[in-house]
Amino acid sequence: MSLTRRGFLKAAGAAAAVTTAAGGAASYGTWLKPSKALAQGTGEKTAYTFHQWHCGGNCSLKCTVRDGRMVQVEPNNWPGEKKFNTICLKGISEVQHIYGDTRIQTPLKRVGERGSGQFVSISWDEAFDECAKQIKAVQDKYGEQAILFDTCLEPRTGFAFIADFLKGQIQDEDIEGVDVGIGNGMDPALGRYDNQEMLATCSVADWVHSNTILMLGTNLPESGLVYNRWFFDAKEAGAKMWTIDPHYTTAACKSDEWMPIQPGTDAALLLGMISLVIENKWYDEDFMLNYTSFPFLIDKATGLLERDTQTKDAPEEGSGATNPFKVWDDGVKNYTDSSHPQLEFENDKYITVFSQLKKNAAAYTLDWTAKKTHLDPDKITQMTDEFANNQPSVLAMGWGGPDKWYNADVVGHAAVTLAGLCGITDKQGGGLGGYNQWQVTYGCEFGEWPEPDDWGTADGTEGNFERRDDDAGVHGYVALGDSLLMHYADTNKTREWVNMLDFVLAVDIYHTFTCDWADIVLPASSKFELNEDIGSVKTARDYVELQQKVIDPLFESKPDYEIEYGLAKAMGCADALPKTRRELDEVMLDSDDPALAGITVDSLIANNGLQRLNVPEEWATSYQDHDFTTPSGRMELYYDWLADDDQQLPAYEDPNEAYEGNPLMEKYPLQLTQARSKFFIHDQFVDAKWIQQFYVATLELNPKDAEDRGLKNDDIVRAYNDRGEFKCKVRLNNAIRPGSSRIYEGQWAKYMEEGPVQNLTNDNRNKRSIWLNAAPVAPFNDTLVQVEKA
Amino acid sequence: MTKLGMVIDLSRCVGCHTCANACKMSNNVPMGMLWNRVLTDGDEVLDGAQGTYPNLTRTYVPLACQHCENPACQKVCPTGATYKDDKGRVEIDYDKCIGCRFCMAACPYNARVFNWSEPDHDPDFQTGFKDVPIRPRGVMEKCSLCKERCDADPENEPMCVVCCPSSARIYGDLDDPDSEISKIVKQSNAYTLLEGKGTRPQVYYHD
Repeated sequence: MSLTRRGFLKAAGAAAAVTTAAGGAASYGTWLKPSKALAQGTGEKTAYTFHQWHCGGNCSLKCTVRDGRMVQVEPNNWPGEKKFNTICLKGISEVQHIYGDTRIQTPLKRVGERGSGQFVSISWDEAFDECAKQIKAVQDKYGEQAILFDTCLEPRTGFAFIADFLKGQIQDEDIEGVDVGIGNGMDPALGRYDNQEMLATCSVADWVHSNTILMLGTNLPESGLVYNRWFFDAKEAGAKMWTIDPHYTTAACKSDEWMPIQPGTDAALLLGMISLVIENKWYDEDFMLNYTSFPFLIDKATGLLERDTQTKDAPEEGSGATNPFKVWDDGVKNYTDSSHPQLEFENDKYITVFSQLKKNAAAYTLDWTAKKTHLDPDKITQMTDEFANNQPSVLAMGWGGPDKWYNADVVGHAAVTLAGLCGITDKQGGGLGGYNQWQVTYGCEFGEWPEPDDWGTADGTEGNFERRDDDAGVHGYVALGDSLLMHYADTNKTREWVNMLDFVLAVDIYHTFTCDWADIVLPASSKFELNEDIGSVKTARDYVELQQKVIDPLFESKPDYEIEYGLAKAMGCADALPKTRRELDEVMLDSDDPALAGITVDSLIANNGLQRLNVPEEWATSYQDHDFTTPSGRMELYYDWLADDDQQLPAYEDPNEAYEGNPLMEKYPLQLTQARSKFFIHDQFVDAKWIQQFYVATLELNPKDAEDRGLKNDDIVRAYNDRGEFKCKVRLNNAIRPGSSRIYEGQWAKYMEEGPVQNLTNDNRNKRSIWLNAAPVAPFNDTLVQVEKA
Repeated sequence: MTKLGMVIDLSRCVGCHTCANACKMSNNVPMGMLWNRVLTDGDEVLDGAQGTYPNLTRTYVPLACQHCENPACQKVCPTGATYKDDKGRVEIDYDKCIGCRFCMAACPYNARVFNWSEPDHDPDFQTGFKDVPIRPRGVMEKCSLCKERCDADPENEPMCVVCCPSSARIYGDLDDPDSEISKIVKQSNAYTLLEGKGTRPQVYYHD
């Protein structure tokens, strides 16, 4: 145990003992007992917990508590890997943030109109009973599926059962609507049909083995701050880094080369690179023949892969064994029976996938690519040459840029096709995907708490916009976090929809946008606050991390598990739940998985909340053994199921709104990007005073665009289009591409003159995406606006 | 002798301000003040760029007290409140500071911050290392190289060094030729800021 024996505990009880008048928001200064009054209990203790999972940083924190207050957080000591001893400005800002004036202090009940922000404080018993009553009323009237459970927040690791006992539809950001744009096109080629959001096929730690690294619309040195140690090690080891981004980001200024691309044309660049690789024969023929679907035959009449039974159905792992693909090897043969399949072949009836790709590539000449992307053709050629011929190579992509466009799936499909041509995935230091997490791990199987048979989520409509805009039968909405802000474009439509719902419940730590639209608001505790000695367990970086109590719950907030348990109790099903979080953690760690052998709650506590899984010492990798979970076991680049959309191979389409030549540009000439930054995790930390020292909502424009509009720094501007408007300060920045505008994602309306930004974002959904892994991505960045002085 | 200092690798600095907040936390620095700031070179505001799109450059420069060997601030201090300590750091004896601000004017690095009014702390309790002295209104303050933390345990390093996500900062004894900092200063063509001022900073930078 690392705790000091000095008398800390008395001081720590201060918060819970105090109550407030209904509706009265006390500052923490008056809420907590003054520290001087606690002289008899004065002492320091050290406590260990984990911070955010949401950024992928997975920091484990060593926290200092004095007089019941969290006075310091610093990196915990990861046994075996010092570089994991990480923290960033967001973690540090918690020292202020958790005590901040945006904390929800008590359960709230709405008294004004939805959206008016008028609430009264109620007791937890009242709140739980009201929630149970309302949820039951919705489900009695419309059926269980009429409740939509939506999550967008840090408390998620603390909630284990709520989706299952609510029995409604679930909208989990991991599977629908956001962060799925590129993955929709990339993941199927690898056999990830469960949608893995283009998670990278290797880890940033592998980059030290890379020779060429392309960062396409990803600002990793900002959005993955704690992975910078590996990023710079790779750079210093000699990797040549290219950043492709419309704006001069931190990634761009730390790269050897910056490619200032026209927004929304990333797929054009990748298709142009594919053409160059084919034209110059820079492809890896051995990899293509043995590990990809490039030699497979397409039936020209149907546009489908030739098999015993052709199909447009969703692909199934291993189905190639019973319904084999065909190749040309002195005639048509099953791919498994051919020793010398032809990569290039065409007759009247058949053409190989590669030959078809080659034909398609003729349209994507270097001139065409340069014109679409506004990039220097010589640089495109040089970058492609290095990517193909100076391997190991990485193609890193971001969730905050090209992912949030109407046809982002073409970017993903083109990226994985390029990767398949060049054979990058089977080399150490080679890979593709999103790298803002410690991606590839051995992982472990936690033990499972047995749930009643009739628990589980209901079938429902997929996709957040379908649920909002179509008649999807949603009548009640349960939100963990600010999902209404983060998951939905075009806020006016969201408002209309929410107003039609019978019941809205929001659970959050801070009073976010979604809370204002809720009927009941439940205050969750931050990661640092528990009544029990421990909270959740999770795995990250192949370690088990344990959440431990740092301080008592602040104000009247409750830790995640207590909220979940309280709701279950009010709904009459708490008997099926563990009584305490520890009870659940013990079951999770009591697993047959040898990776968890010897790891218990007590051993985790003894090891300051961190233990490495029993897995090999070297970092895990994926696909280096060509173990694709596709029908054929190969990387499959031809998508039969998109035949009706002519996207079996990636084909260029202009974006939905923000593209050159769109007549709408005459009215709304500026593309709007909601970029990710070092300051925030989506909308989290926007309210942290220590972050606000450096940034408050600001629309950034190139000085030329600002000058054209008579704008100077700090002017209040109005950004608008037919969907709506927002107002905030403007900032002139050379780093912004002329013709574009940028604001950091997740800005709260209360820190703007008028908001939120989603008032005017594009909510058109790509119908094709419904056939892919996940529902259509919200095309937040595929948005045109005009800006004027407010 | 000991001569504590720091070397900062600007090629690794991403301007994230983690060092600024780590310092703020550890030293209980009031709102509206920072001992340690990250500037965007040549730009009045943060995260700008030099040049005209797309021919741009950007360099982040973390800036705090340079712990000069020949400190301009110390020379002008009328009370001896600013002093060089036995480990080569420039420190302030807050009890002796009369708030004349001569040092603030003298420091060519603009590294010092002054408590013009009652310090505004948010949160309103003391954060950070317990032995860091409280500074009242009318007193000058600045980076101490986390004096109290580092003196309490020789294993401790300043909080900005501990927390830097890029491992851009190395702290140590410049008088010890075998220390990591001495080696890096030697090998990396490290330089100091405003060398012409003759202040001989103990904070080095390299690209």
